[in-house]
Amino acid sequence: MIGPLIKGLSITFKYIFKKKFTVQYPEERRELPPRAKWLHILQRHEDGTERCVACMLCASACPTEAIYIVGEENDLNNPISHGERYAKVWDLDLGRCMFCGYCVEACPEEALAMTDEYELAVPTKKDLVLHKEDLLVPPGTPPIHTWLGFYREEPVEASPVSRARELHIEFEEYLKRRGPKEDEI
Amino acid sequence: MPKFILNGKEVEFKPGETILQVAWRLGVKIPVFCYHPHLPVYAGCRMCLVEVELRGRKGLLPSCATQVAEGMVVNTETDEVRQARKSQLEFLLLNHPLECPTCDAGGECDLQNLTFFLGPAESRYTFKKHEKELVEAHPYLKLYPNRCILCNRCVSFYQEISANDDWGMFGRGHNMRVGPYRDKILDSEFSGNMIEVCPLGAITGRDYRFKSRPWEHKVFNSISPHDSIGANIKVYARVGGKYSRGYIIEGGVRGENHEILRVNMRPNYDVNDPWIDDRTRFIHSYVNSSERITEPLIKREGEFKEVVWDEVISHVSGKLAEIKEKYGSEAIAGIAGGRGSNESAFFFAKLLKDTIGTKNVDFRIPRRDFEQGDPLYEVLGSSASTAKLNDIYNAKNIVVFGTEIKETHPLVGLKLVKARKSGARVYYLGKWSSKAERRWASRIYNYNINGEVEAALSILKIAGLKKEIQIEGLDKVSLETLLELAGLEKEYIEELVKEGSLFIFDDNLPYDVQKALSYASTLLDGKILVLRNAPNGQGFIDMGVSPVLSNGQSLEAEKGLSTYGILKAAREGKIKALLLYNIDPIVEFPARDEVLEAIKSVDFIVVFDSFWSEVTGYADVVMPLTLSFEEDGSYTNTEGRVQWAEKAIPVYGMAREAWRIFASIVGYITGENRVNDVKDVTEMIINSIEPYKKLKFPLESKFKEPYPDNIPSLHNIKTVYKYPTAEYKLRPREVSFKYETGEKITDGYVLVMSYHLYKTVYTLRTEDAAPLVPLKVVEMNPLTIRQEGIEDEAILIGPRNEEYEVKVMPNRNLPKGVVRVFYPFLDYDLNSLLDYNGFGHVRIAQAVRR
Ligand code: SF4
Ligand code: SF4
Ligand code: SF4
Ligand code: FES
Repeated sequence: MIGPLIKGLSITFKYIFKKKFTVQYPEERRELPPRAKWLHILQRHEDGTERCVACMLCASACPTEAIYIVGEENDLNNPISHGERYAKVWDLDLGRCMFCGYCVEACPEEALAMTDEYELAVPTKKDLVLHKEDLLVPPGTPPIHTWLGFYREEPVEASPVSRARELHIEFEEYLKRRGPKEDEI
Repeated sequence: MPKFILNGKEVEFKPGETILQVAWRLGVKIPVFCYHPHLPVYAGCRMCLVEVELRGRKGLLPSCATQVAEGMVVNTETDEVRQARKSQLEFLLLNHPLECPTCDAGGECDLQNLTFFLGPAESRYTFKKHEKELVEAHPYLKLYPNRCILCNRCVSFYQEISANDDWGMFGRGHNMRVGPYRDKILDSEFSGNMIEVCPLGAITGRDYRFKSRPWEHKVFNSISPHDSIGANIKVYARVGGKYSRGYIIEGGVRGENHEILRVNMRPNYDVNDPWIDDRTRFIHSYVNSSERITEPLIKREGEFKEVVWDEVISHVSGKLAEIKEKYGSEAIAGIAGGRGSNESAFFFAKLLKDTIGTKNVDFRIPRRDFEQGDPLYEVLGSSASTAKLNDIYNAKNIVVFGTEIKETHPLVGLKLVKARKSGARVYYLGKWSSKAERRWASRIYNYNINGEVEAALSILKIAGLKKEIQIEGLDKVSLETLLELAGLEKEYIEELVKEGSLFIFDDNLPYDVQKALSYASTLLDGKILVLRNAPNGQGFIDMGVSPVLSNGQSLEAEKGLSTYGILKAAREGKIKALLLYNIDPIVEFPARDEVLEAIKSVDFIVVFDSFWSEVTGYADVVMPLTLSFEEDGSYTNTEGRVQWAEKAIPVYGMAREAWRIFASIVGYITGENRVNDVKDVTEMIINSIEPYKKLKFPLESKFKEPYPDNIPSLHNIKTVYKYPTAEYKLRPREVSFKYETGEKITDGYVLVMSYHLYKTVYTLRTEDAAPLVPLKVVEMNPLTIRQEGIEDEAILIGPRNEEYEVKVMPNRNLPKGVVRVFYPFLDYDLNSLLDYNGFGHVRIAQAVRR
């Protein structure tokens, strides 16, 4: 009986003098690694216009369908983004999001990034739906560069187009093996 | 069959086939840009190069333009070919902006796809790309010349298929560009098709521009609700439901999205080929109009009260039964607008004819002469076209009579262009003619404004003379008198009356015109194609929404009142209850004052409609109906083809399908079981309507064209749809005419009611149509305008000195004394100046400037 007790306490004593893992949240806060994937932001160009062009790639990459976008034509005299289109609606449903970061990887404009803002609790479910106004950073915020393998362990060597093409060809072959489905147009 | 070698295999080919056609048929993927199966071959992009060896000579040839010859050896996948394609893509991309994320075609772009699979991953071109200015060519179209790869597809369509000439290719070499001539607005009702033939996103459409992505929508097979050609369309919509990307509404729940994003064509070679008109393509946002009726309403003490469906059904059923008891079933009448589905029409007729027992049902305009019966039935023994739409391609001699095809049935125009190009003689006879008719007509004759009947009768008379047949009732009047009244020359008519002619006319024309042309066609062994003005006109006749016919080919035992008769009886106080299904007689019929009087003298008016309009104010009960995009149902087009439209978006408010409402009322009165599924109604139609007996459910059948699947711009035409036709029995009957020369209008200006492509009950309910709708506009000859000293606005003065302020637009095609006004009269009440035949007299005063 005494043996296990000593064994257990020895572990306790061993850690008593080590540096503590826990922090006194919320008084104290832990420094997160630079690539932490928490709350999304929508970035801006240096001239203050929005980077997002409503290409909807993030929405299609998202496995949980948390993003909803409606595009709209830019007024070319007074553009909201670079290019002819901008996002009129850009909604993110944090209730669905699982913080996988696929959307950020999909974004071709470096418009979407994730930050270390992890205090996301809200009183009602309704508040979990964030709109474009909530996500856009103020003009002049330094950019987070999400390209160039930011979220990858190693830098990508082959051109992204060729890699994507390889994947596609694999997929095509899979489709061929599987054969056509009924009513597939 | 002759043979050649394709990729090492010996294959057969039909003489005249190109390498590309054979290869695609066998599943060999050859990429293309400028080739489009429905357009003339241009062979300008060189994307389809293949290696061809013939008689010891070897080289790269464009497969889309090279016909196969016996003994050819063709290779599609050699290194050389692959290299050629790659270089070709690099060339195409030299000046192509890399803005796929912004571009509207991203996700359905040939260039994107082919570059992805075949092209180089990087460009070696480091200089500045050319930048050309954005061109707004049409209120609905924008051209981004930077993205254009000069494949010529749009130009081929525009110039060859729609026979229009204000869009083309200019300049040479680096400065070559495509676009409208002199930056003017395109004068075409088919311009939207260019969006679909363009292999990339150089041309974009107003409704869809930058709104969405192709992978975001669901596609529904539907039928154009705008005209009776019944063009097959695909409706793209984001829809509510578990798997949709609908709106995230507050609370994180996916809401329903009622928006239709765009409408594209669905190929059906019997009906619309792979083209649709702009009205069908761009006008769809009326489904969300603020004028939609959302709730069933009953008027109590002068105010509408929202009620539940059960209450309104029992109220109406009770009222109808009461009126029937008190005044007899003849005191109840129904007028329809001919816009609903066959199922709804079937139950509308069933409700009035079987359940209530009145024959006072009609959907035609209130022409006085329609009282006589059905003009086609009178001659042919069935009220349907004897020709199919594609008979236009087979006919050698085509006579288009009195119909402004461009305004009402634009797609027929495309068919006529093709017919004329393949050598048919196309004649047009009309009150006036415009550029649209000159695209397809070989000869145009204008008859006098009120010489319609005489023109048709002289055609018949000449046909009778040719065949040496005496036509009863026409012997008293001489051909010369007729021709003089019509304002035509004898040679003109003699030229166009030929054996086997195809007569095309619409069903709003005078009774005698329709009768005469049908009879002339039987004398000449020809055919007729009647263009119904109501979008489902043929369906409504077949379902028995007619005072004389119980289906398209059988007579009712006793005759009911036509629309004119109903309105007249109502004015005399004989009609106690009036059901208005999808029609507002006050704004859609001429003779407004008389119609209004009729409406006011009816005790009980039930309006079934989707939109608020004038008549809803006089209604006692209003019931909201779904629109065709919100319900399943079948529609019969003008040639008798029965087509199925799928429900694309959720219903608006509390609206219900019309057949469901009528069925509930029938069920309430008779105690029969209510029908709950639209397919059951379709089965009932197939079982009980004679011409539909042979139809089978589902109506739709499809086959696939062998186009490769990595070319998105060909996806839309890959699956081809087919629908069956109803079969009508022809039983030619004795024909006689009662022709009398009537009084003719001589002095003042003649007001003539006509149609406009963009002025319909739908287009007036959406902002989208606004740039093209002639709002409060009348048209006059520019000479007249100058003579009267009119600037923009004028005041029309009616016979009782009533004044109407209108905008005046010049139209040099109009005869001098004519003022053209447009149906429907939602924006001005000029229809009070018109008589039931759509004519009126006015004087003109220049508008006073305020
Ligand atoms: S992080 Fe993942 S789940 Fe969240 S929005 Fe992006 S893609 Fe969707
Ligand atoms: S992927 Fe980027 S640019 Fe595209 S819609 Fe999403 S945030 Fe905007
Ligand atoms: S606009 Fe489109 S269809 Fe027309 S030439 Fe350019 S790329 Fe071809
Ligand atoms: S040259 Fe053949 S597809 Fe363009």
